[in-house]
Amino acid sequence: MTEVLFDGSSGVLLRYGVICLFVGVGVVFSDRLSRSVGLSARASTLVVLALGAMVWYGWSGTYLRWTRLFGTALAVLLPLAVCVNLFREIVWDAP
Amino acid sequence: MIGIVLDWFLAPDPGALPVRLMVVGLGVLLTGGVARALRGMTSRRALLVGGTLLSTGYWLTSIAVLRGSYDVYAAYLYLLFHATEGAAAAHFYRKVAHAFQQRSLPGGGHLRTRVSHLAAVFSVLLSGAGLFVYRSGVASATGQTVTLGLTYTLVAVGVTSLGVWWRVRPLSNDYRVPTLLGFAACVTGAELYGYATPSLEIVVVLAGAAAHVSGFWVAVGVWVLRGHWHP
Repeated sequence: MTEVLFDGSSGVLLRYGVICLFVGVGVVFSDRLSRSVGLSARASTLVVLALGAMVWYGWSGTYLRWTRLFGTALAVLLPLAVCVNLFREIVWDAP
Repeated sequence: MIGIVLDWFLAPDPGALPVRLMVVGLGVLLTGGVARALRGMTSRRALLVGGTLLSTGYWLTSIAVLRGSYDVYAAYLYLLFHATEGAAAAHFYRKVAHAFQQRSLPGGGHLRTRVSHLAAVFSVLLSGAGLFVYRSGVASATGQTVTLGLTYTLVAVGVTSLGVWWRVRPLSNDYRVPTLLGFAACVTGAELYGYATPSLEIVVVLAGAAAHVSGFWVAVGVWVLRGHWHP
């Protein structure tokens, strides 16, 4: 894992990343579905799997591009959010 | 300034440490961010499984993109943090000016007590660093290899991460600890990062100074406009 992380090619990292994201979104969405609609856990997992397969089959290229963009945006925006909050804390909220 | 001069002569040992600090810090930062976003939305199990997978996914995809341009990312984090440091410096001057006018500190307590407390903390830190340098010198004389580069790296990582952690400490109510720890690791990595060429390093240091000055004057401008010059 460490070797892949630091020395693996960008393509391998991206492939593992997209798989993790896809399953992660599926787990969270399935949980939300079973909680809000009242479906059983198995039924909501099946619905999510079907939806996921459709998305993967139909828009995998676009999905990959947006995933890259979103991953980069998070890496850029999260430190920015911390700094903006820190700036606000110092300038606005400080006594 | 001393750090910049030292940085020209000494490189962090191991050399990949700054990049690894940024990569690991980004992972911890993303984990904290995802946990914060999902909290209350999902069950505990989905938060654990889905959150871990999502943060790992974001981590791997962002590294896949950033690995081609760590220079840019390190410079971005460096400038961002130095702008915030500028505002913090303005706040510090404001408090010092008020303390000299009132002969007491805004948070209560006497100036002399606070100064002696700070001096004690600094002397403990400096003694620790001095002891480490002395001990590594002794170890080198006895045959064990403890290089000056490693000493510099340990002291620089320790001092920088403590400084960043001290700065982000007030945000502990807004953010979970992993987010702040990840941010501290990212900024520490960016501070120690060695750029490809000395000229690029000088450009980043100058841009950092400009960001510091901008942060300072933006903070002063906000206080003047709001009429809150005194703390």
